[in-house]
Amino acid sequence: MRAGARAKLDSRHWFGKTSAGVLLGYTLAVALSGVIAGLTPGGFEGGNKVQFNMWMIAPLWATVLGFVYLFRDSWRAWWWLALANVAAFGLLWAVRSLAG
Amino acid sequence: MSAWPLLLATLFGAAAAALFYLASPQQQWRSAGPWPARWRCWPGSLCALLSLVMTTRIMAPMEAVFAWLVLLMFAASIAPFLGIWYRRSFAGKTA
Amino acid sequence: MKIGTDIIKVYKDVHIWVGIVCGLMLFIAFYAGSITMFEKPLERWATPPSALSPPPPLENAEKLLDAVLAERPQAAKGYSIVVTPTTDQPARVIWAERGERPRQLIEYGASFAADGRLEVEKLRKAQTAQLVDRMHQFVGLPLPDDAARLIMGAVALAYAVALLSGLIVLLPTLVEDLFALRAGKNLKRMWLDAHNALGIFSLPFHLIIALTSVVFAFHDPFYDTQAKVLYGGEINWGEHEAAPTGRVPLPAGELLVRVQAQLPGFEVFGFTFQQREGGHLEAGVIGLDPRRGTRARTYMRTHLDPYTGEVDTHDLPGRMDGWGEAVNAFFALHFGSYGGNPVRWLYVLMGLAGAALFYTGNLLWVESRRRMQRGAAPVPQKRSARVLAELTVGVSLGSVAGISATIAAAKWLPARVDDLMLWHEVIYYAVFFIGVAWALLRGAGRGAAELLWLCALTTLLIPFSSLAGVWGIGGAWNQAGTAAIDLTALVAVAVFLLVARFTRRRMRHGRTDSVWSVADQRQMTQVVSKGALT
Repeated sequence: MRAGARAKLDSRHWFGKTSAGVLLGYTLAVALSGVIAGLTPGGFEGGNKVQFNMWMIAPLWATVLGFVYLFRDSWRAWWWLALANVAAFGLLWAVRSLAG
Repeated sequence: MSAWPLLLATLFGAAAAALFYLASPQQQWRSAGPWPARWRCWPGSLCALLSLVMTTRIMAPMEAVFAWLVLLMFAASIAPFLGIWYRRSFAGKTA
Repeated sequence: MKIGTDIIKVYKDVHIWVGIVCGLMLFIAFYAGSITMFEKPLERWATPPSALSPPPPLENAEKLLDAVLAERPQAAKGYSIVVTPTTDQPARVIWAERGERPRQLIEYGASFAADGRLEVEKLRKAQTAQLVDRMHQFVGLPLPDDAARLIMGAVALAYAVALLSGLIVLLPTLVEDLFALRAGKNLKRMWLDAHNALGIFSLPFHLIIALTSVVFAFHDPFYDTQAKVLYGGEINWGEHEAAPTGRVPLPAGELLVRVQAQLPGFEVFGFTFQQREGGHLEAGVIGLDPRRGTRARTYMRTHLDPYTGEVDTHDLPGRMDGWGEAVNAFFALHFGSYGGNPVRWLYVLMGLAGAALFYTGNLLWVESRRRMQRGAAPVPQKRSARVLAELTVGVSLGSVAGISATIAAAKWLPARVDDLMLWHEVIYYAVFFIGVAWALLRGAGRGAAELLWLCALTTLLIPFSSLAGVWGIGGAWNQAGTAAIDLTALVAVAVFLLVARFTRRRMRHGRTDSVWSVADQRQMTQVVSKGALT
């Protein structure tokens, strides 16, 4: 990034960013938990793996929600997280079709 | 659970946190300044390692690492409070 | 590490607001959580003595079971044989029967009287520890479980965000401020250092606690969403029924011998049995290997073939697959359920340090809004700072005193009331709200000292109730081997009195331009009364 080119962040958009992080962050976390499940041994099978897959949602969700305040405004937060969701669900679809 | 490894694990863990604290530039314990001046992390790391070895004597490997980490976290968290308490109670109050 | 000042500012705001909204609830959760580390000893301390005759030896467990089944056939559906009876499980054979309310199960125990007659008793396991656990799980909110769980999950998620934002704010000065505690004229600096010292090294612990709490609150919706998105509608848990391998189950004594041979280092507490269709018996073994962590807080449990004594080790820590071990570790890390009492004490201290982290966070907010005194005239402090200081004192110390009071009531209530849980809650919330009201009425400084005395008093009532039991006063009792609870309470009393003394000294000799000062309280009263006059 060029020095000084970055726009200054401020706290005004907290509600829009937080809601994007809570809602789209949750769906993103679910999709990513599926991708991780599909790419690790055991896949979507077995009682213990199913529990582990569920546990993965919490750290993923918290991470998205934690970093959502780095977006410059609410619109960018919603837009980029929506895009990330599309990508993650596409990846999940690919992983699941590969896994059969 | 045997008492000796437990005692040694606790003592080495506490000593590790104390030595890390003493080596920090922010320490308030020694009026003469941080100790040691060189190889700062070594005495603390050695004690921490010994504490881990002792903890594995009383617990399964993964659980031993957990207990050891929590012990170090707690000891390091209260080190600054003990340091300032020691300075105020026993050492010169010039700081 | 370099981070833009605007980013720091944004994350400082996030950290402050989450702290203000959630800090006090987290204080209660951490303090109550510390107490629940010793739920078993507390339960034994608070359980009334059983009137049953001493349990028969384990070899006679089947004889006792047959006598029970002859008199109470419904016990055949599910019962347990206790290997090591304790005050909270005082019988060799224990079973549950349906109560009047839906999903209510009442536990009974049985023994033989000296003349060989069957004795049956409704077990009176104390609910005190359960109440403290409720305070812990539902961050002290007097709401129905579902609503409280939702709020607790949101608080846990916000707490995770607060940890991350706190770390970001601290990152630029992390290395040079490590271990710093600069106690000088600048009180804000000191509270900030204290807050950081408590937070930075414990960060991994706090992250684990926060993320596991999110899962504990939301695991049902998490599973539901994943069932739809990942598993095509329904989750396949991969469990299968074990086939029956024989006709006559082995006696408990023989089961114990066979289990001990298969599981060295595993202390067996008892066996559970369930009758399935066609008379097939399913069994489980309950016990503990203190070298390993357990997701069930105080015990481990796995399936057992009652006809051969063969243990299904797949569910035991140390013998699961990697994913199972990981999930078990998440639970154990939250509960501190590994390594026995030493780790439990460590978790008590970490929990109290965590409570102090939230307390110092609030004080930091108050301190950074302090109005400095410039001349001789005292300055009244901002109302927001005053109210938050008073709430911090009232909610924290009110919950501490409330928990002590409700524990102290455990030995008096059974002789007087029927609905124990209700009365435990009434006592807790009564003391809690009195504490909050008192702090708002008396101001933060004076309120803190006086509420600390209240904490000391209610905590002192805990060993007094045991003492009353020793002397046989008022239906109280004293269980042998539970003096550790009373001694711990006495130590807590001494700590409360020490902190009270320290608070009073600061209030009298500290600076007057502070919400802690008595002078500020007087000043405010004058302002209010003048306002009332005009």
